[in-house]
Amino acid sequence: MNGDRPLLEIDGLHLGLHTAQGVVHALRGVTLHVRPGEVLAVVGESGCGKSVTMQGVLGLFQPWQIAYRSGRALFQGRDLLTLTEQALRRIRGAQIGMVFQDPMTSLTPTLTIGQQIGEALLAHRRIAPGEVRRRVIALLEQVGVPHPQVRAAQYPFQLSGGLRQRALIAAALAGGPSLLIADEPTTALDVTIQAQILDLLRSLQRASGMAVILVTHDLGVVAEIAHRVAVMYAGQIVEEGTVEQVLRRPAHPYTWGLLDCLPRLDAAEGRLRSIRGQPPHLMTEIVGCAFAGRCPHAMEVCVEHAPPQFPAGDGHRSACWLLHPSAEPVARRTRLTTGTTRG
Amino acid sequence: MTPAHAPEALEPSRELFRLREGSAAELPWAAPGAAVSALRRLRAHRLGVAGLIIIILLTVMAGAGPQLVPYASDEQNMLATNEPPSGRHWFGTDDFGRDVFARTWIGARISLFVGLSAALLDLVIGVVYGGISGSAGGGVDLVMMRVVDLLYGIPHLLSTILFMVVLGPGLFTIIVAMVATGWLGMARLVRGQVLLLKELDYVQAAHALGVRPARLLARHLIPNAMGPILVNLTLTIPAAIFTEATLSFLGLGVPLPLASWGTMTAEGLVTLLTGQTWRLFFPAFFISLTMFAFNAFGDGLRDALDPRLRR
Amino acid sequence: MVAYLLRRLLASLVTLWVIVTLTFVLMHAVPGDPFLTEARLSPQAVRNLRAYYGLDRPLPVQYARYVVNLLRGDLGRSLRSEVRDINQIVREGLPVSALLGAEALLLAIAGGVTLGVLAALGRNRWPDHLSIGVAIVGISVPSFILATLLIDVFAVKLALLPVSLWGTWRHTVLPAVSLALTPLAYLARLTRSSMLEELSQDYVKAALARGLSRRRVIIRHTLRGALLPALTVLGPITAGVLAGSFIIENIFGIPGIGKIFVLSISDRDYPLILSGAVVYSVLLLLANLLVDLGYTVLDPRIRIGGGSR
Repeated sequence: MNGDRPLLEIDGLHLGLHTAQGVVHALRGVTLHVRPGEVLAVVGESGCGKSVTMQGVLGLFQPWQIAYRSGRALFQGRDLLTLTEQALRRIRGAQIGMVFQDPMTSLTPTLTIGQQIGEALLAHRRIAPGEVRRRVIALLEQVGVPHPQVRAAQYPFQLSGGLRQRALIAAALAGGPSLLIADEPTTALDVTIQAQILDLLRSLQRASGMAVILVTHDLGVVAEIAHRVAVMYAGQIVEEGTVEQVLRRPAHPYTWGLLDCLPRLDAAEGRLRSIRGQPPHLMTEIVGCAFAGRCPHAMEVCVEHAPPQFPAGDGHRSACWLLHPSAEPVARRTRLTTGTTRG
Repeated sequence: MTPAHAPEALEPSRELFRLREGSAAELPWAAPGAAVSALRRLRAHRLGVAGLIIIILLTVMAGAGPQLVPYASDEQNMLATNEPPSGRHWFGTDDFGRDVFARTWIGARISLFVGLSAALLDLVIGVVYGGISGSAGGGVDLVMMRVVDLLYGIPHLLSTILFMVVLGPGLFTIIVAMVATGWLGMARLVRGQVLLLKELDYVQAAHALGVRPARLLARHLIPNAMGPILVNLTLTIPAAIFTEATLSFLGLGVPLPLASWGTMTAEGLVTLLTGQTWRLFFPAFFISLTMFAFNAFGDGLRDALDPRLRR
Repeated sequence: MVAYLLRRLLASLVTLWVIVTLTFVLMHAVPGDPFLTEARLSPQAVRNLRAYYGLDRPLPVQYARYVVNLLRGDLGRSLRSEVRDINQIVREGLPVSALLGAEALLLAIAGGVTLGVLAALGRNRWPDHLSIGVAIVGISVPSFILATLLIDVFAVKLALLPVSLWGTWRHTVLPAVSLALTPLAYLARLTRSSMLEELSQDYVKAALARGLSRRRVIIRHTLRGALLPALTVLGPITAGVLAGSFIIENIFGIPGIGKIFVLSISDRDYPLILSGAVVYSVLLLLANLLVDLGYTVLDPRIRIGGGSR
C-alpha cells in the first residue's frame, strides 16, 4: 500500500442505461479511486449502481444499452472511457481482471473449465499448446482446486459452487492483472464457502500485491479483508475512507443505517432492523440529496441542494449537509431504523 | 440527454439548515411511475395492434362485404366470364361470371368459421382434458398424458387427411377431422399450467377449506391459466385456417356449392397458365393476411402477458 | 447417452405401431369399397379381386397379415395405380421426394439460422429488419400460395425457370424455395431470440472481461447454446416439410411419393394409403432420432448426463 498515484481513478462518472421502462440514471457522478496493492470495498444496497460502475468502466455494456455517459475513468493515467474497443480488450484480463457474482451463470456451460481458462491465457500472449495446459493446471492449483487435471477437463455443471468460483477467479487472474474487480464474489455461495473464497482472495492479493476492488453488500466481508471502503447510494458515493474510519466513525446517515441493520448477537432487542423507505427509482432526476426521503436528520437544504463531499477526517469524506458548519451536530442513534430503538 | 448537474458552488443560506418537516412521499422522484411501463408495452407492439385491427376489419367485411355489391356470390353470368377487376366487378369474375368480390367474402365466412370453430373446440376439449389430468395428478395424470404423448407423435396433417377420407367431405367433418388431433397441444399446455398453479398458496388454501375439485378447477385454476390459454388460442386459429386451406387445395375440403378461400385458390391455380390471376390472387392474399393478423396478434398478446420482458 | 437413445428408439417404434394401427382401422372404417366404383366390373370380377387382395378375410386377419408383411419389408400391392408393387413405387418416388425435402431443409436451416444470428447481432439494423420481414412472409403465406406466386413471377412472366416437372437442377429451385420459406422463417425467428438470450447471459460479459474479442465470444461461447432450441424444433419442421411436399409435388407435377400418396387417398387405394402413412412416419421418426443424436453432440449436459462432482 503506497501513497503514490492511484491505479484506477473514477471521476464524476455519469451513466444512463436504456431499459424496457425507459432510461435509468444509473450513475449520478461516481468518484472513487484505488491505489496499487490496496483493497477497496464498495458497499451498498442492490441496485445502487455498484456493478454498473465496474461494468461501465470496463466497457462491458453493449452500445445500444447506453443512453449517455460522461466523466473519466483513469487507469494508469489513460481514460478507459475514451479508448477504442481494441485498446480496451488489451486491458481487460491482462491489466484489469473481473470476477462475477454467480459462478454458475458466469461460466459458459458448453465449454470445459480448462478451455475457458486456456482461452483467457491465450487472449493476451502467444503460448505453445503444451505450455497452456501446464499453466491452466498451475492456475487451478493456485486457487486451491483439488485434482486440477481432472477438473480442467470438466464442464461447469460438474463442479460445486465453491469450485466454480475458484475456477472463475483462476480465469480472471490468467492474464496477470494488476487490478482485480470482484463483483460480489461470495454472494451466491454458502457461508462456509464464502469464508474460504475470501481467504483465497486475501492470500492471492498479498502474494501478488495486486489491487482489489471488492463490491459487496455485506459489511462483515468489508471488515475482514478491505483497507478502504466506499459507500454507495443511488448511483453516487456518499462516504469514503479507511475501514477503521467508516466502520468506527461513520459520517453519513446512510452508513449509520447500514451499520444499525447488522444483526448483533449481544443486542437486547429481538427484532431485526431495516432502514425505513425504499431507494429511489432513478428514472426521474433527483433534486437534492437522494437519501433525504429516508433520513430523519433531513434539513430543508437537503431537499433543495445536493450535498457536496465534506471532509470528515484525514482521507475520510462524506456527502452530507450535516458536516456543514451551519448544521447542528446530531446524536448518531436516533430513529433511523424501524424496530425498537435504544434512543 | 445528460442531466444538468451544475456543481453546487453556491453557499446555501443558514436558515435552510433547520430540520425538515414532511414525509418522503412528497418527493416527486421517490415514487415509481407505474403507468409508464404499461403504456410503453402496449405501444411497442404495433404489429400486435395491427394484427387485431386487421382481424376486426376482416370480420366486418366477412359479414358486410357481400352486401356491398349487387351480385350474389353464386350468381352466374355467362356474358361476363373471366373479366379482370374493374369498376363493376371490383375483384373481377370467374369462369362462370360470378363476382369474385362477393365470393371472396362468402369464402371468408367459411374459412373463418372453420378456423374459429376448430380452434374453439380444441380449446374446450384441451382445457377439460388438461385440466382434469393436471388437477387429478398421480396415476390418472400419468395415464392421460401417456395417451397424449402417443397421439402427439402422429403428424397432424396426416391424421386430418386420414379422418377426412374416412368421414367424407363436409363442412363439419373438416372441423371434426382437424379437432381429432388438434386438441393435444392445448391439453398439454393447460395441464402444465394447472400443475404450476396447484402449488400456489391460495389454491392449497381453497383445497384445505374443502372446495370440491371440480369447482376448484373451474373457479380458480382455469381462470388464472387464461393468459397462456388465450395466447395459444390465437395461435391455433391460423394453423386451423392453414390446414383447411391445405385440405381444400388437396380436394378434401368443403364440398360444393360451398366455397372457402382454400377451394377458391385451388380453382384459381390453373389461371397461372391462362392469365386470369386475380382469381388466384385474392383468396390467396386473404389467407395470408388472415394468418399474419392472427399470428401478429397472438405474438403481441404473448409479449404483453409475459412478465419477463426481455428485449 | 446410449440408454437415452435406446429409450427414444423404443418410443418411436411404439408410435409407429400406433400410426399403422390407427390408419388401418380408419381405412377399413370407410364405407365404400375400392372396386365398387368401377362400373365396368362384374360382381364376380369384384369378388375375385377382393379375394386376390385378401379383402374378403376378416379384419384381424388382414391386420395381422399386413403387420407381418411390414416387418418383412413388404409394403404390399397397390389396388389402383399402374405399377402394382408398392415397394417399387416407393423405390422410384422416394429418392425424388427425398431430394426435394433435403434441398428444402438445407435451405431452411442454413438460411434461417444465418438470418437469425445476423439479426440478433445487428439489432435494429438491416439484418434485423430483413429477418422480421422474412418471418412475416414465411409464417403467413402458406407454401402452396408462395409456390403459385413464384411460378407466376419466375416461370411464367420472367421465364427464368421451368414451370413444372422434374429433370434438371433448375426444376428443383422453385419447389425447394416454396417448401423452405416457412420453416426458414420459424428457424430465423427462433434463432434470433435464442441468440439474443445467449448474448444477454452473464458468461458473455465474463468472457469479454477476460479480454476475449467479441467475435470469439460470439462464435465459441454463444453459438452452440443459441442453436440448441433450433435443433429442438427440427423434428416438427421436418414434419412440416414432409407434409408440405405433398402439395408442392402436386403443384409442380413432381413424381415423388407425395403426389402418389395424395392420389391414393381419393382413390381409396388402401394398401397405398397405409404404405404412405408408414413411409411418412418412418421418415419422421428417423428425423426425430437424428435430432436427439444431434442434441447429445451439442449439449454436454446430455452427453455426460449428470456428471461427476
